[in-house]
Amino acid sequence: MKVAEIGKVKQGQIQLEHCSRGVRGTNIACRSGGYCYDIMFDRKKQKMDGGQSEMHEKHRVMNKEKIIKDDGRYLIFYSFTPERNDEKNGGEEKHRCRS
Amino acid sequence: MSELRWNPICREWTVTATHRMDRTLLPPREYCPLCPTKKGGFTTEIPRENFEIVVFENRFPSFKIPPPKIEAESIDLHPVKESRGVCEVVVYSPEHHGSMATLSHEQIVNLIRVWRDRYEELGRKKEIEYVLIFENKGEEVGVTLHHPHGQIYAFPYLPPIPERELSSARDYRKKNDGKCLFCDVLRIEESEGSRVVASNKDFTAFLPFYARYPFEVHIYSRHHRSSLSDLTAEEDQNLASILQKVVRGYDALFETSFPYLMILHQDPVKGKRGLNHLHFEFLPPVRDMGKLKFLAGCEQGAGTFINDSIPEEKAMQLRRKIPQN
Repeated sequence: MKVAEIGKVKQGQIQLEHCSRGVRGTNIACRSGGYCYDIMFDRKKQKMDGGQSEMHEKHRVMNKEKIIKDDGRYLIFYSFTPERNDEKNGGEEKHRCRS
Repeated sequence: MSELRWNPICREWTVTATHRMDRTLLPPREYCPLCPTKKGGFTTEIPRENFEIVVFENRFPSFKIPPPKIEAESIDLHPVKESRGVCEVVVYSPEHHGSMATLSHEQIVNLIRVWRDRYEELGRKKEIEYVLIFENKGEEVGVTLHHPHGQIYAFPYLPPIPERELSSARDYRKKNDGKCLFCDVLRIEESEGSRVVASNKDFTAFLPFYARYPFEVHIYSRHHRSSLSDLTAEEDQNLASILQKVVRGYDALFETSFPYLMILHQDPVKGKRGLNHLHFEFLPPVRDMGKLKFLAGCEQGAGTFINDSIPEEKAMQLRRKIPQN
């Protein structure tokens, strides 16, 4: 599988629905570390590489909300939503999309 | 009081954590500290009426940042160090009853993502050398809370078991043109086949040839992956599937919610990466229906396990209870 930098994506590639860092409207699917995978998309079979299109459709964005309890200990609520929830996660979520 | 005391005989650290003596022990369901806090009800660790997965700092930690002050005298023969590190609790679900066997597939995928996030976040702390993700399940292994949960210990040093594993892997690489020891163990298990209990595109579950416990199951990544950070989304899915197959297989075989220790082995978070091989080890304390496996004189005194069974037979029993598709 080819690896391309964000923004250097060729035609025919696809952005995964769950991918929050990929530039919307372009065909980028991204991976941690600031790199993007080229996803080979066979439109006839309607399957992505590995045949996991359905899986990716179900994949949700992970949100983190950290609070500090009265005794000083932290507690993190993890939630999984179709869209990234920037307000809730307080900007702490580390991008984590895999293809 | 909590500190690290060096054992010069065994060359390992012991953690003293005297406050843990007073930790919550098997409270009734209405006082479970891992349940959501309901309106007008008992205030639990989790101040919300609902949640998906929650991680919090253990109220009774063995490691802490900043660590408590050292109280014992440190001498050359047995140094004493601060117990600097992190202990977290991972609550899998708001439901009080259940286990990994009863969670949905999606909940386990989400749990894997949370484990990965904790491995990476804790691994970025300068004090931390190794992140151990594990689950103790069942009163037979000493759990103090029944609510489905696991734990994470972020160590300020590389503990002896991972150190030994890495040392073996390093030696094997040197002697075998850079080959991975774990990959070769898996290759033999897969080609032999009699100890394999489940397999999919990315993971294989088997009782190792050298199993120490009668129902000890290891789940290995079929590709060389050194940590959860290396997994793809598809591998997350397949890992969730095989984890659930194994725990459901245990439950089906013993017709109960089966007790176990589940330990995730992966790369240390500092230093050169890629030497370890992502795998889970299930170490159940049960040797047969109604019979427990105790670590007794030979195990504790000599460090040699006596397995009262042969893994090929136990694998066959377990495999029959796991759907093979």
